Amino acid sequence: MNEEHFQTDLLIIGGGVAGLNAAITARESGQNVLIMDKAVIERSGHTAGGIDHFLAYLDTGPAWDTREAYLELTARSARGATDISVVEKVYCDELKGAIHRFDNIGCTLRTTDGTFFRTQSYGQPGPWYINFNGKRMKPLLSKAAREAGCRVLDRVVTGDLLVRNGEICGAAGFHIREGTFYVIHSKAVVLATGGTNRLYQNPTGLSFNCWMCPANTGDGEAMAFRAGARLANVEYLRMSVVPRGFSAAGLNALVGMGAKLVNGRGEEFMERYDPLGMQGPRYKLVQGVLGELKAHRGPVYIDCRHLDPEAMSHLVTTLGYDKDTLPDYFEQKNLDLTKDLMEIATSEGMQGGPSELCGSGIKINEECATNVPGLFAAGNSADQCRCLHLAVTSGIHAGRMASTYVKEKAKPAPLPDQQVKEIRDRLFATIEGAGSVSWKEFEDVLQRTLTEGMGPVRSAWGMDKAWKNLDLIEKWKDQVKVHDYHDLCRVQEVYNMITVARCMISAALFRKESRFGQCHYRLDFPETDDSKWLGQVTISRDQNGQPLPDFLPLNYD
Amino acid sequence: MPPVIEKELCQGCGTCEDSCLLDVIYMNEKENQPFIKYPEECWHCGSCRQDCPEGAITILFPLRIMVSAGIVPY
Repeated sequence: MNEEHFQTDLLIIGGGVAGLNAAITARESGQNVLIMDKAVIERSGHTAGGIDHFLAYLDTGPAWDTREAYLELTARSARGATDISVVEKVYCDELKGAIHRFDNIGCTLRTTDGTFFRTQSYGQPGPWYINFNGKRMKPLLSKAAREAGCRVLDRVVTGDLLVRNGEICGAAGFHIREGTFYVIHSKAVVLATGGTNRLYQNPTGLSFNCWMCPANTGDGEAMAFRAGARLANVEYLRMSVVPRGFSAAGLNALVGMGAKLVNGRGEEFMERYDPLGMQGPRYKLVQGVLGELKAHRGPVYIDCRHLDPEAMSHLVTTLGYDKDTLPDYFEQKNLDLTKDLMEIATSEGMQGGPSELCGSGIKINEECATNVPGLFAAGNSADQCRCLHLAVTSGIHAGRMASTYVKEKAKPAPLPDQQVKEIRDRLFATIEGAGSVSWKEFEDVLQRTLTEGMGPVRSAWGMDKAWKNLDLIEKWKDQVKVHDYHDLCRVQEVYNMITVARCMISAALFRKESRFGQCHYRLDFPETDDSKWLGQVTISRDQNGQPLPDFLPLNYD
Repeated sequence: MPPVIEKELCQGCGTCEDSCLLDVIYMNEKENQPFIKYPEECWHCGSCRQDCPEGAITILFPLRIMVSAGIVPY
């Protein structure tokens, strides 16, 4: 098998929005940057096909349009999960620069007349979502990164981080088509690999028909965990409301333009679930839909028929920016939103932060740094970040902070030769194995296990059972059948998802209360208990490689 | 099979192969034509269609998306 070695100041793993923004920022400050992505960066990550909204306060005068208002809603809506001192640094301090970055790459957030088109949803005190045409955002961002002189390894998936004496010094991985083994020796690493999305059964039976990007399988979280980094907020289950059958993005556009949820009797029902009704947080919309279906008042629909022609026209356009193929779905389903109700359902589950303003995953501090020297995280893989606004700002911030770290470091720690050999042996051991179990079968039993035991209603016995199922699944690992390097990539994804699943169960068992509705609802501890649980459950790796939960209080005074 | 490639329009440039973030589309080097190697791993993101310089790609949703049946698991 071929092997290639690279040396760089800063290695960025994951060339999505956060990774590329980190790369450009680090390059601007003079660092040698290498980006590694399991796809081709022009169309990789969650925003590959496009996106239509960026959340920002713009300091235009009213009290709702300020930093203080943003921090107030963050603290209120993600109470117990968000660390405000980190949010101030990774979002507020970088926001102006982030908006400039959009202009610099040629993907403006403004409309043709120079203004911002702003809409309101999910409990925001004012219209914070800027609607824009982000269909070419990824190709433009990639062009900027390549032109800035970042080196790119496309179609290379990372197997593991390299650690020497507790310090990060690179990563190793393989090409998902040719199998070439890559060893990157670097002074620091930024992980920007997104969330963990293929963990739960998809209602259609199509695992890749998921709301968020199916390529994001917790690779960064699992690698960080193995390298000794702490995770946080990983107990939370995230779901959305999607067109029934097609797990597509677009809910914020629908809600922002004034669409309503109605049940099978034609009744609007959201007021029963949240005082803000349709303007409530996303998890409350999910709760409302589940509640109506459980009470046999389905089917549940989205109703847009009352929208005026101008709003309707904007809605249909922006839905196509957020999910390029959603208009095709409408056409093939023969759905006309001006005349028809659209049947919706709850999406598959995923591991994700509890609100639009707070993430889950690798625990970062005010410098986007983890507890492992030389390891930084940004975007949806970091515990404080999710959505486009935090992907861009935390990417910029991680690039800046990692550059400072790299500048102070004369050279990287020596390559850990023994670890490199172990990673190579582990990755390629299965390629010629005589097993009979495909990655799909592993994924299927993993998804069934979490759907059964780690859903919107949890209990100690159900989670214990899920944990034991994972033990059984792992015993079958030596039976895995791998046909080619594409398959090998999928196998690694599933193994990383199993690691994230263990961290998720461990954190959820530890948190003996309920928080954020069905994001973490325990039948055996149904109340929210701020006296004991106002803070994050963190997960680190114990001496046996198992998740070790701990509690970190957070203060909101 | 979500992306459908019209052979008469396709010039075999390979752009769609690079646009696919899930490694679903491959080039058949002999015929100089792309093909869908892993249809069940498509995310329906539309990147291949947006980037095709010949407009040779349409998205056709599979049966399991068009006929949504089954109970909501919760």
